[in-house]
Amino acid sequence: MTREIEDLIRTAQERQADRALPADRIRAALPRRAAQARRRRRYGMAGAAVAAVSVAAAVTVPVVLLRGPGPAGTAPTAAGAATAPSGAEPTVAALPQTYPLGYRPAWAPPGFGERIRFADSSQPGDPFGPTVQRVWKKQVGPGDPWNGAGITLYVRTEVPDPAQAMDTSGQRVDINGVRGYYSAGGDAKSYVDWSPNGHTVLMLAAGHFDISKADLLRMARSVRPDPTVATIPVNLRWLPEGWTTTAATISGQGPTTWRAEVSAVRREVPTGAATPGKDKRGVPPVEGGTVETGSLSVVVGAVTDAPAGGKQLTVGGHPARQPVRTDAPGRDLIYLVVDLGQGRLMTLVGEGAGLTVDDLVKVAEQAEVNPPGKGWIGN
Amino acid sequence: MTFEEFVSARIGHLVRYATVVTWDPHLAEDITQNVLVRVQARWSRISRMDAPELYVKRMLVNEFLSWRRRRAARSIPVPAETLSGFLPATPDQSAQRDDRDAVLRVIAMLPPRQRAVIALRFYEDLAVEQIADMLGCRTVTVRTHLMRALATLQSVLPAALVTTGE
Repeated sequence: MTREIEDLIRTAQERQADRALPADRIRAALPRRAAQARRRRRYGMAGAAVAAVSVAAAVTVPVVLLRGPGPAGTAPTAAGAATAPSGAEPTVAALPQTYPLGYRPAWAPPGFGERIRFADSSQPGDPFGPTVQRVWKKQVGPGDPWNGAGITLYVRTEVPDPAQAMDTSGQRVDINGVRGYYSAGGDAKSYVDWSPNGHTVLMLAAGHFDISKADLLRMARSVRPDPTVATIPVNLRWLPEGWTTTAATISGQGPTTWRAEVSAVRREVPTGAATPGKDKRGVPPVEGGTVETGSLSVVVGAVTDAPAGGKQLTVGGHPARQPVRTDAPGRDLIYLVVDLGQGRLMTLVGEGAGLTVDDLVKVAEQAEVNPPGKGWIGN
Repeated sequence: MTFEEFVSARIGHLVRYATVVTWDPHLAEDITQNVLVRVQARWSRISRMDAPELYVKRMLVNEFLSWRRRRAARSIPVPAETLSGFLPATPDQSAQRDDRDAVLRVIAMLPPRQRAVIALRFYEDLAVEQIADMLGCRTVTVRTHLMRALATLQSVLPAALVTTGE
């Protein structure tokens, strides 16, 4: 076998390109994506959490320590004490620690309960503003909750032009006196979106679940304003300079099995550009002149995705370990797993932008964890 | 050129490009749609650029890499013995096809940034300097990703002849 590897790669890439989905289908769905543009975690359609990214510039202001509605006395912190680092002003979290839920359905198909809440910050220039996702599922595991069937309510309440943010190519339907648009594909995806007021766009989307049109519309028509303000159970009170939190996911099968994940990124102006806003070929950097150069996720839950083993250490008085991956996909990732006690593990995974193990240790030491309110998970 | 004309003319190529970058047709669909929605909102500015399509491709690859960072923690370690399993034990008549399939699978397991780099290098035929511009990194970083990707493939296909084309 003496084939040149480049030829093999090119051949493989051409074969892969041939697997592209029909362009017409993608084009036809563009209006719908105008309403989904930011996330997902795609990305949701791929079963993943859509974390937000991008804040054009880091801002440093004093963080406000917020405590969630969880029961008193059950707030483990890796630091052992909820005090800010002495002599250091914590970096601001761009994603607010609390956020309004906005809307919720009063009815869901039997067996479905609300098991995921997701919030992200808005990207620079994003015409849709921040998004809250509330997901009704029959079950989620203790780990990544996004796989499998679910019905997601996308709540966007800061949309400058709702008409432009909706997919109007679908079938016209009535949602409590407001025109909505229903679409369904042959791949267990269906959705309806509507705008209840001049700055809000709601979308109810079923994924990997063959819900009838009647049931999807019934659920959509049951959606009402929800004044509840949700609190993110994990508060990253310190991040390295220039880093900012961007998204949070809270999930659980029941009130005692919750899991929370907070994402943070660092964005920088690309090096090598001829001028700050334009590179030497005349192409400006994307997204406000910055690119994402580092990422960090902090997960608190009953299980960890980190590899076994690793160097033993103590973080804020808690036993911890620092697993190391040597495989190609994982060799650039830095892991830290902290045993918070009470069956809770904090897993930090980061990479890029000069992030170090010491940074992860400090993030863990200064993080505050408050159990989420018990009233919603699974209901 | 209007946005609609641009999409009509180029969406087929953009989707194929995104499929090669992401190595996932469904993810490519999502990313392409997301990016085009943003492009539409800024078309008056983007259309005045010297190379609008290049800018859109840049948005696509950065959208993918931003997304993959959020998913990086969920990458599944692949033990070396699994990679070795892609190799035919002995040459046979289906060896050539096996090699192609092995390349497909190994590319799928490359770190996303390495996969993006080889897509830009070999599918788009961009120079290292151009790739560095698109990704907002240094050329040495691109070369490192390229070398690592090729080394990984070479380790799986030890008889392959590795050349970088530079």
